[in-house]
Amino acid sequence: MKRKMSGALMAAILAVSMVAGCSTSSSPGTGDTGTAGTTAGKTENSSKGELPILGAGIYSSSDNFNSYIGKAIKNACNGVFTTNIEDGQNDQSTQNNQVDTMLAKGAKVIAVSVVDVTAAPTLIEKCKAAGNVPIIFFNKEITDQSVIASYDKAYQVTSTGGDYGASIEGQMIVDYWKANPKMDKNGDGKLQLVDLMGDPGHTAAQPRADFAKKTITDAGIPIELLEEDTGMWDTAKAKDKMDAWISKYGDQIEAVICGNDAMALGALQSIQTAGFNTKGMESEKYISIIGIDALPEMLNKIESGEVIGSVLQDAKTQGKTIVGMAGNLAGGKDVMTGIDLKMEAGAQAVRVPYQAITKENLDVAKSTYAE
Amino acid sequence: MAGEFILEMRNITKSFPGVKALDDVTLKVRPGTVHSLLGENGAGKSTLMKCLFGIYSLSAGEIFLEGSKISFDNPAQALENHVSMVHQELNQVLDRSVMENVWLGRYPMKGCLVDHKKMYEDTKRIFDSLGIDVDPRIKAGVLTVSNRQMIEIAKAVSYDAKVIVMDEPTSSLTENEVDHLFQIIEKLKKENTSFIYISHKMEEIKRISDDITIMRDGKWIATEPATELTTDSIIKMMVGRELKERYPQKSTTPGDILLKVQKLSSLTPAFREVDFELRRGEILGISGLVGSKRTEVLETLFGIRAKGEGQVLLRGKQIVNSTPIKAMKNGFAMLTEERREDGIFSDLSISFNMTITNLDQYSKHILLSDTLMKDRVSSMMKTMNVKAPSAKTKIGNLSGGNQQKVILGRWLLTNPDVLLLDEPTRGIDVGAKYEIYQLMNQLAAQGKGMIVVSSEMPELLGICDRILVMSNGRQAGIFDAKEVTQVQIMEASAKYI
Amino acid sequence: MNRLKNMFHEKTMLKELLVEKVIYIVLIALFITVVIIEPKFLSFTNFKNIFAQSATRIIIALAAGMVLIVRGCDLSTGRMIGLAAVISASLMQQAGYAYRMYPGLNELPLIVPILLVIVICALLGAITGTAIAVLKVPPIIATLAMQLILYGASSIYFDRPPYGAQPIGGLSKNIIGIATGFFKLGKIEIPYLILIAIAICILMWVIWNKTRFGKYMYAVGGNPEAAKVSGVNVIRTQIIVYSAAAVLYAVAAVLEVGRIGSASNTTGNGYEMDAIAACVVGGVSMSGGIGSIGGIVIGVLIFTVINYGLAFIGVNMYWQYIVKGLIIALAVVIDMRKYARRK
Repeated sequence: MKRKMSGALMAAILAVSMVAGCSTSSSPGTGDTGTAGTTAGKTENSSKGELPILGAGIYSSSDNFNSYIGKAIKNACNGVFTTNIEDGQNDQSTQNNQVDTMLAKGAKVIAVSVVDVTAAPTLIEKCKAAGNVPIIFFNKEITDQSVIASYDKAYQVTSTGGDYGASIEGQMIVDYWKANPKMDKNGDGKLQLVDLMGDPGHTAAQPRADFAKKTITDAGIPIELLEEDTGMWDTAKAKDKMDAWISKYGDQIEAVICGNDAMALGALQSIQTAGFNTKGMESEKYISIIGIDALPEMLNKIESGEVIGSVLQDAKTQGKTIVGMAGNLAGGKDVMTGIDLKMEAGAQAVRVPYQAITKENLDVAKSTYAE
Repeated sequence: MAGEFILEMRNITKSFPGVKALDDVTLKVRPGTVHSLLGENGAGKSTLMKCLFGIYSLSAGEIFLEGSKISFDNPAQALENHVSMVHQELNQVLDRSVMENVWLGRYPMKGCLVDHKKMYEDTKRIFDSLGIDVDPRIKAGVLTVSNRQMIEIAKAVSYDAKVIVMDEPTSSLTENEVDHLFQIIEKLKKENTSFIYISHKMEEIKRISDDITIMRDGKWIATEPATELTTDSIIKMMVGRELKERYPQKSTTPGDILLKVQKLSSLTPAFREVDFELRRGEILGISGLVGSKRTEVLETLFGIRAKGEGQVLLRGKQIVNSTPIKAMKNGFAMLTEERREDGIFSDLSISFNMTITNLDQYSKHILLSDTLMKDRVSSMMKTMNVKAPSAKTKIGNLSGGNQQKVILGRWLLTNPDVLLLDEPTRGIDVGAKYEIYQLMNQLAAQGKGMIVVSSEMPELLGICDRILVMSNGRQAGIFDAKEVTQVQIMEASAKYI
Repeated sequence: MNRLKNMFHEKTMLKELLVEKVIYIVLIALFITVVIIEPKFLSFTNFKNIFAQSATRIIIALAAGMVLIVRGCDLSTGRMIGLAAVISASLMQQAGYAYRMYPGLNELPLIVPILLVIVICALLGAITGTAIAVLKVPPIIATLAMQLILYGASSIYFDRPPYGAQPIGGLSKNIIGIATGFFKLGKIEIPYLILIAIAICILMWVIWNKTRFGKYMYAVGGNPEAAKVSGVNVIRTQIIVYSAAAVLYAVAAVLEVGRIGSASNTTGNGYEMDAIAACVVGGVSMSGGIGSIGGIVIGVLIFTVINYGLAFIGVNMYWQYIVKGLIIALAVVIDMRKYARRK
């Protein structure tokens, strides 16, 4: 019986990995071509007017922002490319197989958010071997410049800098601190802080925690770090952590810095249950919470004053930029033709800036969700 | 002195906190003999053997092998010292070949590879010497239980065993297979191998034993040459009281026809054209060799196994028991052969085990009534004379006999008309057996019909009104139990082979 | 003779009791350790938080426990919760919220989304149960397949216009109120979540112990062959168990959505492992037939105390994993002892 079971299990696992490895691409609706969001020209195409293939993959659909970029790419492809966003399921070998399949189907350009940044050279080799197919990395930054430099058709599109938006997050705390003397509840001139980090396996987790704190101390505000632990990017896990911290420190906590908005929302839920922030910024007991991503739910909380702000990572612009570059590459034009952003000198990298979102400029963030 | 006994266990005492499991027991085995160890379940036979094999440490006493004092730490050490045990439950790797099972853990090697040729030849030689006709290269799993048992013996021989302990070796063997086993034992006896033989079957013990030691309640009762003892005197010593007869007298005679089975065949080609009647108050035995499909007949009647051709009439009306649930609704009950496999819920209480088949009776609206269940269970435990601390005791902690009484109680609580009993007394000690026979007589007096499958022919002859003999999936005849002899039944059993 | 036997039983029962109670000792030891390191841990708020955090997990673990008791195994737990979470959340959004999945929809009475996800999950559970009971698909495979299907389905539901893969928030005050509100007893605040969990525990206790279905569940798990011969409808029992478990998942999902204030396709991810671990630690046998409500509740509490207590004293998350792993290993060793004894 046991043997039979494990055999069947193996078969099931095989089947699953095969499905993951060769999911087919569906062609987008051909009806409305008018909304193609890129300013780059459409690519002239071969015989029957079929659209060229853009092989696109995200590293995991469990990451909201990552899949949101995937979505933005898909939308931007409308009328320009045939594409299907593959889900790497947070497994590099799955993603490698997916890239193989894309190349085998004749993709003109590959755009992937790698699961594991150290796997980038492997993917580059695959593209070279398939006839020098251009590859654009996005979202997860390939920090080793030599990897991108090793192939003249490798590019990356990421958000600005190695701080993953955390410097802006820190600066928002600094600004808020200066504008609201009440924030220093105990008047000791120090910021009593708890920090909810992301999954430490994710490149952005540690830098986000570090840069946020660094920006605050660099601005001359000393930090007393009460607690720091990972909430694994997850709302429920962040809430559970915060339950313990709020019970331990209560009103001593002056700010909660979160690696993303999902955790910020969990932290908010937790402190609201404990009687904080229930009436927005007018609440009797208030703890400043800040996150990154500017999720719609978070925008709502910013509007009501339950949290002080978030940082917008502009998925839509990233998606448009990627598809625009891909269109230029496939059409043999200069890669930056018709794209507003600049190629970083000597790095083959395009940076899409982060933006601070507070009550004052909510519309900027809202506009990215308006379709 | 050393020559007289090969193995001596002198004044063995084994105490567990609060209880003396063995109290000053002595067992002396002569070389080249079969020494039977007898006693009711719980008399301490297994504990004594566990002490020999080092599974338990001794509280007091000494063990001598060929005159020198020994103390094994574990069964493997005993094996190295030529003391071996053939277990009741065979521990074999069924997916591997016969020879690999024999040489498991000490494969002959050629360099760093297993020498299969030598392994085959060595196995074959032992098999030939014992008259075992099995290809050493086939999978152990495809063999019959008896053949697998022979292989265990061969394994003991391969270790050059001087003492072989056999625990209930014949419980699942047919008469022929028992004969074969005994031939092997006789042969090994001549080569000066000794046996400690544990069994409940009196006929076999009298046939094979040289000496007999009887134990009761953890104490040594007697050791006598087999020729000096009669079955009755053995039983008397085992149970500590006089059992006038091994089978109680059945006073009632069968009444009207209750069940009529006409040309019944199984859907799979297991058996065909079984045809009999069962009267109220009648006990009908089914005899036959292992593999003659006796159990399958009962299973088909109870809806466990799919029915093919034929009809079943209950009180003249045709019924179809396609599932056990339907069979129960029609007033059938079935005690299965493998109590552990498909009878008891060993981790659950006596109360649970007794009530699971007829929970409907205890339901008030949607909830179950505890008081009602408690009342029924305790009265049934009293009726069945179940020996247990309470109804909450796990059934797995009871002796085989008490488990069987609980399961019988389970079925009696459904108030059945037809009871199908498959090996109802297997692995049960003499006292409990007698109680079960008595109970069957009482049930007969209440007008219930019973069909009993048993491998113990004297049992069938002792308790049944009539005996149906199966041979190779066919009905070989129905005999009046008062008139038929064992020889006639054996002949009928071989009719279609 | 009988006296001897009885003493034997009493002794083995005492030993059994000790082995089974090790887990309680572990819980108490953990608790004391945390208190020694951080005496502030001994506060009503912390107790309240631990129980409140355990509430939904208890409901989920009870469901997983039922499945384990019938010798099954449910790997689809987390994704089933995820599906129920996104569906229910999308139907529980406030009318005025800007990013609603169904902008035109009026705010529904709470009972509508709750009943809807209960019905959907019950059906899905029945499908899994049928595959296992009727088609004899091994539970691991059937529920693994269901897990993948459910994740795909909930992702499709979740990742679609108008706002795409964004956490579904802006939930109605009603559901937030139920999941985070409390009942005031003098100065003591008892979260509704705890009361709901207690109510479900009582209901489950009655079902497991006082109904035919409950007895059949233990019988099927304890010895399926014997159950069949005893006239238990094994197939029906298995299907009901999987379906009932799914209903509990649906209830837990709705409460979880309220508790964390939003839902996404990752909601519930990995909950099956937490639930199975809690069951094992709570004395549910991996070989079926054994398990009690009390044990499961203790199992869940142990993990919450680890989560919460270690976060409270500031122990690194990685160490929490190690402690959890060790406790699961200990529990399984105890379980194997039970199994060995049965053989």
